[in-house]
Amino acid sequence: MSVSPEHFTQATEIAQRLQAEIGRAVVGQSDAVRATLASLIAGGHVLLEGMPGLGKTLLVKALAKTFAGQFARIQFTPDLMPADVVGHAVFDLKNQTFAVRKGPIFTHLLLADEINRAPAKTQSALLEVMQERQVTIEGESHPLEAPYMVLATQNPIEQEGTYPLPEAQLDRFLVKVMMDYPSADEELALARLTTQNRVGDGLDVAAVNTVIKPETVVTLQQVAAHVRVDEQVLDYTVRIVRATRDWPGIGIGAGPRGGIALVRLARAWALLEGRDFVTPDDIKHCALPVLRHRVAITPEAELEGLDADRLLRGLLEQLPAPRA
Amino acid sequence: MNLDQLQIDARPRPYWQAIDLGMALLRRHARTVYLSWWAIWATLAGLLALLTPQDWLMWNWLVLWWLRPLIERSTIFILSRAVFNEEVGVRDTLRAWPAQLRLGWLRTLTWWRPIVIGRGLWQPVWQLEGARGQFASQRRRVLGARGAYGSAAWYGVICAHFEFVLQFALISLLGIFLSDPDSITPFLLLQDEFAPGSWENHLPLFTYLLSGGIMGPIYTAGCFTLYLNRRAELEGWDIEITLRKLAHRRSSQLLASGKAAATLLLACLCWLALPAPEAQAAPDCSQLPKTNKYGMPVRATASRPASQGSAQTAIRADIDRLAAGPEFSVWECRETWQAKKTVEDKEREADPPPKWLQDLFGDFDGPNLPVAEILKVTFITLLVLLVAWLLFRNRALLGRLLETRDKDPQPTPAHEICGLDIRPESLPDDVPSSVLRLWRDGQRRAALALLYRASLSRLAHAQQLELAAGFTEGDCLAVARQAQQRGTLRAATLEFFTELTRHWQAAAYADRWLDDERFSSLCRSWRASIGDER
Repeated sequence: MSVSPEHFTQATEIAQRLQAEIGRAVVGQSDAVRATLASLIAGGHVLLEGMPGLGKTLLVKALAKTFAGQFARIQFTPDLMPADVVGHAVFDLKNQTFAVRKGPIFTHLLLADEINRAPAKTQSALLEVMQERQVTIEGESHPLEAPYMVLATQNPIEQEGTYPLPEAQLDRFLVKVMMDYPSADEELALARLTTQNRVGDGLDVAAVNTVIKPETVVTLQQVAAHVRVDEQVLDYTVRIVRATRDWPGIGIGAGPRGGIALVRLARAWALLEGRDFVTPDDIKHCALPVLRHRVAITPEAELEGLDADRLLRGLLEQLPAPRA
Repeated sequence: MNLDQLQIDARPRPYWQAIDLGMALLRRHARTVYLSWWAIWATLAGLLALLTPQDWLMWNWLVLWWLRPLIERSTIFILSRAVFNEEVGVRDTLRAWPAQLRLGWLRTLTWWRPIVIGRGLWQPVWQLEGARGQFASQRRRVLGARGAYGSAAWYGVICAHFEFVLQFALISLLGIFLSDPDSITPFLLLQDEFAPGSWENHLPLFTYLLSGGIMGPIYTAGCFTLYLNRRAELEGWDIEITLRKLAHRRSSQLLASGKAAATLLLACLCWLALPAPEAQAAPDCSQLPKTNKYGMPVRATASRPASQGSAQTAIRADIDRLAAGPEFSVWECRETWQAKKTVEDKEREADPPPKWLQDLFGDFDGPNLPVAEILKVTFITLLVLLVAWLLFRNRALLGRLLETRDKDPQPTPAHEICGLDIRPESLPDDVPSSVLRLWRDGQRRAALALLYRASLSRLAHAQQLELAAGFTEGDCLAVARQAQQRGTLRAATLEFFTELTRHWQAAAYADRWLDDERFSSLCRSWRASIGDER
């Protein structure tokens, strides 16, 4: 596919409209919205982490509505089995054949709520599908319809009785988005919006308009893949990723997949910024969401009260920007 | 002190038996001891509960604990009289208690004495013996010797554990009853913080009141009989009592027979008149042969054969002259006391340590062994090396700590941003002309880079924008925006810098160049926008 400058302009317009539409339902959380949208355009999956009630489900529902995508939600529990997620084959007595009953995973946007509550077996089933983008039931492969994106949430509190995702599986997520409490003004606007002339506290995405079709998202992804990345920017990306491996306070650095993910997200980010080329700024902006779940900090740093974000910020501050 | 009245079997016992004797004593006088203790103990606790400010209620039990040595004196008062068959009541004890405190109460409560766990052994020294100062220290040392203090301290440790268990059990018991029926936890009262004014704030004092009220007299009684045992051991109370009994029996017989008394008196006098064994063994100087240090008799005047000539006479005169000299004529008899040599001394003398060991350790009996000095220096050196090694091992951690401390202030201005040298001296005098010249020569990248770095240089040095080495173009722009919002940067400058950054990024990372006319106009506006900022 050849991509002309007009394509880039159109893609940017669409991406910015999608962002604006999501903003009609989700008050505040602009960084989370932007990172989630960029991940969709980059074709990656998102791990959302934040306290309960910060609008994680609303964000996903609003995003699904913007491109008329199907949306499914699975509440992960300790007794959830892989078949409950991916589906299973049942014997049809009338036809004397096995009929495949597809699980909720067959959708465009899947919200895997509290993924760390399910046992490792179920988590692995989901993570495998995320990687392969196809489901095998009774030996038969069922490809998932594009665009396909999993948004898994984790609750930073109530760690009792959870099965934390292993580092290797965390790597499957393109970004880890932290949702923080909204600012005072945002919270005031949120309270006003959700309580005025409204019954109940249900999430309302009625204000969100559908902008594109699911196929357009695939086109957007293709356009984003053609965003230019200069050699120096690529070099800067690799230097950042390599620096995480021997940076004081970081025990396990990011692997090569981290660098690849960083470039992918930076391309989508540049598109959202209205550019058809990636700048070091895009890389710097994307570094935290892409790398924070791919590095493991040392126990000493943890005891000092440092976290991955703070260490990575220090790294980005000190690592020289590319030589133009 | 009349040992005849002593109600306990005063003989040296193992220390644990002595403490057990205290328990027996306490059982016999439990009513008086506990009532007296509680009368003072509960009163003090009540006063503390009333007078302590709300914020300090959780800690007022420490004051009660601090005052405890004073209350222990009431128990010692009762038991010290009980062992001599003198019964005192609760009322007498309470009346006598202030007087018991008079003897060194301040010293009991100050310095480190309240926290000395074996202080129970020493309390009678201050209270009953009235010892003070240097004498008291000596008495404490003597009484505490031969493991007595260790036993008192361990007994104190055991009692403290029982106290803790009682206190904890009480809090847990209350916790069980006060818990939510669905989640019963004995630790409820330990976990929660209570509102001011709530009764739970008095729990530490209340539980310490109960546990201390039970264990306090037990500890004091055990230590008191340990003290008595030590004194019996030191002063030979058992021997004295036996002798007294013997004397009493004898005297009754002797009174009946004056002859026997006279005989005893005579025997005693004879015994006193006898010389000491050492004196008896010592030889009388007058009886010893008078010899000089060579074993030759002094002033040898034995008969000599007649001299055989003048030569012999001269020789004899010489010999006599020499023999009369100090070398041969001095005879000394010195009487001194000397300690008997023990078997170990003799063995040591018989088998002296090897010379190298003597050289190393010097005099074994000397106060300062050279090896101790060597060990001291070695240990200090090892300690210093250990600290140095720990610092070296954790240098990364220290470095980070220092780094974060240093990082908190604003970053230092960088000389290089995005690989561009931004020092003013690195720039040509006429920037626009140099830039245009480069552009016309076809060095577009160099021209735009020079323009961009000249702008950065002006912003960093003339406008004092704080640009760090790790800044990207976007970061520099963000800092410029903040400066404009603060009013330290002109809007026109920011506008120009934004546009220049956009062109620079497009050229550097997308190889997209602006046309000649646009570039010329950018150069022209540079001087007005940024170039004049000096």
